[in-house]
Amino acid sequence: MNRHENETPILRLTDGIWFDTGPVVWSIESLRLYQGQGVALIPDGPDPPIDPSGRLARILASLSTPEQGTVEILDENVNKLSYRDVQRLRVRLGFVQGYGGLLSNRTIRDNIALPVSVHGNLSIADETSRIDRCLDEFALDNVANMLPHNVDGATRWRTCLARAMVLRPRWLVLEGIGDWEMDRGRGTAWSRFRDYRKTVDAAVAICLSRRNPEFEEWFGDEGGEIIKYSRLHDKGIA
Amino acid sequence: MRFLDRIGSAFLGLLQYLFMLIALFYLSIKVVWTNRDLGQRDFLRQVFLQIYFTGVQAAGPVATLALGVGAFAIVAGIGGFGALSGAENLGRMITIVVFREVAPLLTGGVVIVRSVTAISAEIGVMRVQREIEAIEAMGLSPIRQLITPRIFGGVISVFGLNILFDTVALFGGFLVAQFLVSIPASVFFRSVFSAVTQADIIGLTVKVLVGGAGMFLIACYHGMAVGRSSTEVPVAVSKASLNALVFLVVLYGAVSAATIMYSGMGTMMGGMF
Repeated sequence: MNRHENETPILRLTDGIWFDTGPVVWSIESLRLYQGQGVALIPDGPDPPIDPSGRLARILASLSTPEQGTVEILDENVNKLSYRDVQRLRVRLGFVQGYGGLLSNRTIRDNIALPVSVHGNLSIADETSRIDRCLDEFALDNVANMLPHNVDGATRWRTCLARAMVLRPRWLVLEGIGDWEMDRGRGTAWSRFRDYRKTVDAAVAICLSRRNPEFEEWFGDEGGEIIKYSRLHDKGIA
Repeated sequence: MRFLDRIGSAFLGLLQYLFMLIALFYLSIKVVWTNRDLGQRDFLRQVFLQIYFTGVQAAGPVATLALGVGAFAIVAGIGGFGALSGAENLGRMITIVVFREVAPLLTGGVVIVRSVTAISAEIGVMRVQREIEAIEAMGLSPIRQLITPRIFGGVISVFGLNILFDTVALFGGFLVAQFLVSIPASVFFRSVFSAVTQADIIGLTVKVLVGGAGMFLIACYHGMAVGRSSTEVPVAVSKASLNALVFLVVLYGAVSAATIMYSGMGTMMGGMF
């Protein structure tokens, strides 16, 4: 029996999703993602003139709506929700931007603390202990009081991952694979990512800008699935 | 016809701009209520930080300016009216020049130079670096996180800086003037405080509240209007500072005119000369 037969999917793309990135319109017929599942979404065909992975990641993270089709996240139709309800939904998902998106006027610690202090409903002591634990898990304690521009790119990405996971969401969206190329998934960030998937049983979608055979193999070994989405219409560059 | 088209287009653009500012102000107030269940600690921290950056850090320059303006106004007044015989008129002049006009305008100028430019640049850079998107992705409202604390902190700071300016200009200016001429403190301060009318206080309050909120709103609006390119940031900074200055001058001019009409121009000028 299929483990997910009676489950509600974490993510459901229906009604023939298509989204426009300028020169190319992309299409995903349908997609269902259940708790514990992981997918890497890759554009099919030759390298497109504009990377579609960022737009797709934002659609999956409720930050953007597709030109056509329905996106349901955690059983909620994103298009039909009020702004406040979308905000509530976003608290339950973790989004890791490809270029970091860390708040430059806050330290590494404060970046991780922000979602906890706003949404955590914790006492100051509990909040501090959760942040300390997160900093320790991601090997960020020695740079906790530094600003994002004072640390290297891999640390910034690790911070982003930590920030996305600190509220323990069941749905994670990654725009790109960050520092994976540096250590082929053996470093702190990806070890934590793997542990997180196991302990929280989170659903994960990773949007890649192009094919990456090495990563695809690694992700396949981790139980992930590779899904290719196709060009619906190629407008070209005028 | 083309000239009329341009005027009409500029007028519509101005109306649209004002509408956007009012809408942003409405949202920035509304979000305090709609997001009341979210953690307040970080919100208050942002308000206090804004008070620190705008109010506390600007206290030195504002006090220095106030000292200079106060001393200049008192010395010039004494030169014009005489130390004792003109003490009554001197008080009125100080009230009109310092309390009603110069304090809010110079304080506003300092705030524009320091904070309006800084805020529009900061928010603009945050837009370019997609930090605002990161805030949205965390389920937070960028308006509540960035704009509302800046407006609250900004208005409180502008209020505090005006009080500081008036205090330093009157007391400091008086002390500086003591080196040049001798004027009894009781005579001077009685004439100053008796010259302050209810209309002056209402006018100053309107200038501080509306002017302060308007300046910070303009700064935030232009910062948020930046798109994806870093070249848009300096444009936003210059637009924000210029528009804030024009807004301030127009508002203060209108409030001063209303104050004069309310007080009765004849009484005021007649008492002076």
